[in-house]
Amino acid sequence: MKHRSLSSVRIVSAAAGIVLLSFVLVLATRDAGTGTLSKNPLIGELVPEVQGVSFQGEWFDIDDATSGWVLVNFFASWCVPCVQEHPELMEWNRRHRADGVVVSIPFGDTEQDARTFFAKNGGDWPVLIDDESEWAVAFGVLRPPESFLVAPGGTVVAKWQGQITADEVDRVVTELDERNAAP
Amino acid sequence: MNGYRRLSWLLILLVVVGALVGAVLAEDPPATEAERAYEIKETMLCPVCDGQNVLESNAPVAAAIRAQVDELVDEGRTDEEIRAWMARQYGDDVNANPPRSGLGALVWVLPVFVGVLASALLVLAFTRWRSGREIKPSEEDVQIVRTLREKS
Amino acid sequence: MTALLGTVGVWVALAGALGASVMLILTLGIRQDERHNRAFPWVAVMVSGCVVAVVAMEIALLTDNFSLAYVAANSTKTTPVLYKFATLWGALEGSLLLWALVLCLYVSAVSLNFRHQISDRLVAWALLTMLVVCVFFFGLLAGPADPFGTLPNPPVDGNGLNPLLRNHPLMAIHPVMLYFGYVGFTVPFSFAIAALVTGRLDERWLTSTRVWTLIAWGSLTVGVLLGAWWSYEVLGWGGYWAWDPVENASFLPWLTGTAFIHSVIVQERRGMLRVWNLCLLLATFALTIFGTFLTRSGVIESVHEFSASSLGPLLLGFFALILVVSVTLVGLRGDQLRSPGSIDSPLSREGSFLANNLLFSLFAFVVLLGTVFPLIVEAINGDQLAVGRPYFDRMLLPIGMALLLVMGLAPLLTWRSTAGSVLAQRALAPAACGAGVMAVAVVAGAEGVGPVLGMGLGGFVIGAALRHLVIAFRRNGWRGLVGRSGGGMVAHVGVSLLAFGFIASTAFSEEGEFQLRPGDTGSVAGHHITFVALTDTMDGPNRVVRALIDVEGRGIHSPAITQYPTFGRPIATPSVATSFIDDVYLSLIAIPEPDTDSVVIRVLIEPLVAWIWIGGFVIGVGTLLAVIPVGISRSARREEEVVRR
Repeated sequence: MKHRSLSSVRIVSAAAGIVLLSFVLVLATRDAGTGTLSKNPLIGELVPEVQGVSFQGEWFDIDDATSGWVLVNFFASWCVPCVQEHPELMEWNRRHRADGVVVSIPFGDTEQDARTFFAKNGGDWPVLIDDESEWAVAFGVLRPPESFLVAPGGTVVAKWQGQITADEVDRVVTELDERNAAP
Repeated sequence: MNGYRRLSWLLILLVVVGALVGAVLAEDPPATEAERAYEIKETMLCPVCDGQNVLESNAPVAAAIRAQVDELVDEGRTDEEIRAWMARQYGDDVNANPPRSGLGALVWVLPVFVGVLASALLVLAFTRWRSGREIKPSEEDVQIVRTLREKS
Repeated sequence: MTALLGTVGVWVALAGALGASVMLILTLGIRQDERHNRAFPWVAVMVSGCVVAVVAMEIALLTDNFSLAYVAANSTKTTPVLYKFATLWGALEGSLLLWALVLCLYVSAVSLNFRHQISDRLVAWALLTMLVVCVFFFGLLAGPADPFGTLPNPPVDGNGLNPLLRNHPLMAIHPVMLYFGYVGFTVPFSFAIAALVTGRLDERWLTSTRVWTLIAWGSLTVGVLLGAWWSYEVLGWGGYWAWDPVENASFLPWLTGTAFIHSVIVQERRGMLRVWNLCLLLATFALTIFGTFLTRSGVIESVHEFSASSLGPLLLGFFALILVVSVTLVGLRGDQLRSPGSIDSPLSREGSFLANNLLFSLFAFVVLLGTVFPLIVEAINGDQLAVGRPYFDRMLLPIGMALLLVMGLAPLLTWRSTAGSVLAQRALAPAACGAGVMAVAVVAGAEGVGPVLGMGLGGFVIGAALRHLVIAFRRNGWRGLVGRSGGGMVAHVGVSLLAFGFIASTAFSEEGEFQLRPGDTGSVAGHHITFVALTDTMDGPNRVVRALIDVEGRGIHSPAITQYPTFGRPIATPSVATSFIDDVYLSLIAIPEPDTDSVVIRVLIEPLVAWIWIGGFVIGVGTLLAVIPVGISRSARREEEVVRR
């Protein structure tokens, strides 16, 4: 009896030790701050439906625009990177007057503030209000700013989380243009 | 005195049963659409706010999900359809309830398993303690008694 | 200059901790008794160094010394003085400094208390264990988490803490209480290690640490509840507990600690469960370090998390070290600690303590599993899933109900074995109390079997506790209310009050959202709220928008939204019109559009919330009563002698 009890304590503590140490190993192999970022299922898919009356009072339907490039930008007037990237959007819009368009969609913002934002910072491209947040969910937007590049034909080809530059967007545009031209 | 006590217990039992019946009767009829939407929002986590659910979070994405859930419930989509759609858009970890299939189901099963195992061990210990209560004198004890007797 | 002072303080403290450890190792190794006291001067050096470092940091914070990176990152000129002071524990490095300070306080208290028993190897080993923990924390402060790093070009003003952390006075005390709890468990842990190392099987180490364990437990209880209260008052969603990983991290040691303070009674009375009790203490301390790892490594995402830092591997290593030492010692010594006793009947006081321990351990297991499960799954197959509040609610509510039942039964049971008829007689009044509570609850509008049953069990617990207190008071007067059993029963009453508040506010809350123009009234669950006016003012650099709301019968309340210039999104601050019956919880949804005069107000009616905080206070009082030493009554002593024989 004495002998049996002696070994049972050892066995139990050895087993507990092994379980606990493998637990520590699991923890040790986890990266700090593994996030859920940029798991966007949209890339390679057809762009979700976006249509409505823009701030300029004109009807806009993304399907009519996909003969060229479309840059869909979700933004908010209170978000600092959005303010900072706005000139870059203006620049990209200027470069692609012929073969592209920017579409801005306020996200987590009021219509009033978004209008003030455009009045103050400029930009003459369509701005659409996402009434039921349908587009935000369809694009899987997490936090502004977020931008999606739609290639001619209507396929989403790239997504950026955070501030973008005109050059960065054009890098992707040229890359895809070259790839299409190659074969 | 004993009869009085028995009566008191009966009375307590009556009150308890009565209260529980009352509690069941007072319960709301099956969920309305609004309650269904509420329930979905409560069990869906905001993807950018570290574990807060979309009902309570102020983040824009939570507001967006709330609005869409309302919309989809209005359209008559089922809970499963709505959850699956959100999981596709934002990842499986928007659902606060871990899945009930695959590896994820372990989180539901393990506690039950451990609980049953631990209770079984406790019951086993009790029965062993019980059976061990009629202590028989060990050989050593017998020896001691014998030597004492011989001495006297 | 202040930075230099602080750095010197940290290094002096580290040297003190190392010196004291070396002295103790020497004495334990060489066994020369006259050397023993040499450890104490080094302990004094360590404590002074730590105090200097903390004072230096406080001076830097209060004088806006932005040449310190910590001050520049976490304070601003406009921060109110109280929060400048509290910024010490507002961020990673400073919070470790507070941790070290609390640890030093405990070490000096233990040193003072046991100064005449240092020749006792048990005490020496315990002190050595504590000092090793000190060495670890001062090591962190001296290098990887240096709070006194300086900036070559100090900014004119600092960044300031997240505004959520500096708009409520509870933030100034909640972490301190929490740390007194967390760190306090170092003391019983050290005595447990010492008992294992020296192989001292008697119960002396337990009685030596009883008071320390209770103080740590009480502080942790109050600390956790203050945290819940802060969430309730500040975060604006009307909840106080979200099963967030960081909340769980503070809750886990509480669970094992609670199991320990109950099962240790069985060991003291019956000499049983020695291995188990040691394991609970070891687990409790290991879980405090684990919690520190979770909150400071960034492996888990949480609202309360400190910024991700490089401390992760170090804390994990220390956690692993604790596990290895504990498991090895228990494995080697466990057989010596096995107790001879046995339990006669499950229907006995010790039987109820065993049930209590089973339930608390299971509770802790579920919380731990739910917290780390996403990490484990991700490690195994890369899937990302979440384990959220619905899981914890569903798994833990049945365990919680069972705990309430055991809590009510335990004080009614006698030691060794209780006859059914005795129990039936003793349980009568408490059961009537429980049934009464259920009836009142149903009449007051409670619905659903679970909540009503839970409240009934709470009433049963209160009845049983009051019965015990009344009998003890009749027998011993006021002395019957102090000591472990008296204080313990007071704490039980507190737990039941807390349970009432928890059950009612989760099961029966009601919500409404209103768009109101001045003069408009909205009503939820019989409460009428009228929007009076909107104010838009500047508080220093911050824009504060307040909605003045007249809550019928409870005066004007003003939920607000503040826009901080250094912080992106505006922060909403709720306003709570509280009463003993229910809270009217008001929050302003968004800063209203400039061209409208209407606001959107979210109103939550949460019944009995106030009783959660009252219950917490009662638990604190109960703990204090339990700490007061009381002579063992004659009958208990006689019983003990019988048992010993």
